[in-house]
Amino acid sequence: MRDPYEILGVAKTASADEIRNAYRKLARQNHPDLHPGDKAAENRFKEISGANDLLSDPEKRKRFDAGEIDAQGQEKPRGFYRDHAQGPHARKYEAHMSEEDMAGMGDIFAEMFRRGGAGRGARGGFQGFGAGFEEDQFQQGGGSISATMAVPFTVAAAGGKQRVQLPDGRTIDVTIPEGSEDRQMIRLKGQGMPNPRGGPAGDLYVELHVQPHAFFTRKDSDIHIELPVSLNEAVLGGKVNVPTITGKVALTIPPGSNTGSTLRLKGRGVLDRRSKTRGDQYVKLRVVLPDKPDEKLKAFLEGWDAGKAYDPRRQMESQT
Amino acid sequence: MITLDELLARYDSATAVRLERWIFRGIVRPDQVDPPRFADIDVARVELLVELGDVLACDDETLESVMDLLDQVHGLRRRLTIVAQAIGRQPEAVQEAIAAELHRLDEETREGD
Repeated sequence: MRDPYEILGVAKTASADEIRNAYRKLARQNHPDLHPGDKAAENRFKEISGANDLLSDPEKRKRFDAGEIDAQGQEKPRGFYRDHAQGPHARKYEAHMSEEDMAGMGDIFAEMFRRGGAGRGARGGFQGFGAGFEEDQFQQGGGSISATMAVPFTVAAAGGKQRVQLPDGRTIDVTIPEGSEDRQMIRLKGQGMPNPRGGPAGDLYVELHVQPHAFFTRKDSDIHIELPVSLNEAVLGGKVNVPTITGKVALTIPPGSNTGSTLRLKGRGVLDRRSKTRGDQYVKLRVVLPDKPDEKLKAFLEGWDAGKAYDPRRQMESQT
Repeated sequence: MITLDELLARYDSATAVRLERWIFRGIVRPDQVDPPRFADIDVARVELLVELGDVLACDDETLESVMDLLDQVHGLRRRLTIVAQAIGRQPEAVQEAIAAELHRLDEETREGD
């Protein structure tokens, strides 16, 4: 069974509309009743319908993308790593045996055991995609360097440049992609150790340590912030400026807002690197009284009967 | 064989970040490099890492040690299988001699405890 995306000729990221349009077009071109003389049309039409059944159902499509079901919509048998670990591909993860381990074996066996996996030796500590995973390949380029770098919260969220000092004394500017996450690795090709034999230089890997922010917190691609508002703003409503990761934005506080009321600034969150969509910023209000007690406010509250009658702890009492 | 993006898309963003780290640290090694492509064994290994990370509630350093030991066990099992196969292809008299010797050595090392 072919890949359903391939059958419909759409990208894996195609929208529901794109899938529907592709299906309709292909179904028109291959419908058996529209092509009475074409025997193969029936099979093509079945294939197209099957692909559409899978991809037009968001739940099935999600499970197919996650590798849980196959192109026919069948549950894939659950495999385990050990099923692969003794297979032909497993050698690359196998650990080398040390000379001491082999000392007790005869020469014939020691030779066989020595030829085991290329595993550990090839790792050479830190390495990435480009470095290659076989020992001989690994030695062709210069060595790689790794470094860690503290990144301010807003730079990681909104993207930007950040200077880093390398273990060898150089300083370079690293471009931090928008929506970077804590502990994310960035690879800078050719910024590692120079190659003594004149080949390509190694790579530099920078691990980002995103610093916490005074008032922003991040949850996936959403930003959360607690915003102090005055009593006037809470009761009467009004426009206030709210900081976002990309600058200040005007927010309308509806009249009668309370501590804990949460407002959403759509699209003001962080770019999700995979879905390419932007999260939102959630603004949780906190009503704050003036620093000094105000005589007029006190006088008003003393004469405010509705305020005295309102018991915010009513629910608490009914439950104790 | 699947691409890095396809592999990352199977997990939530926190796991995806961990996954990238495992790849950079060489705990998971794509079958093809540049552009990276992952074979069934790599995908199964990622699944195991995700589950072990969950079940053992441990950090990447611990996970790396566990995988290191696991790789050693699998390597030893494979080699042991080969030795057993090689013995199985010997004449019966040789097989019996080896079996007797294995038994004797086993007893001997036990007495040494």
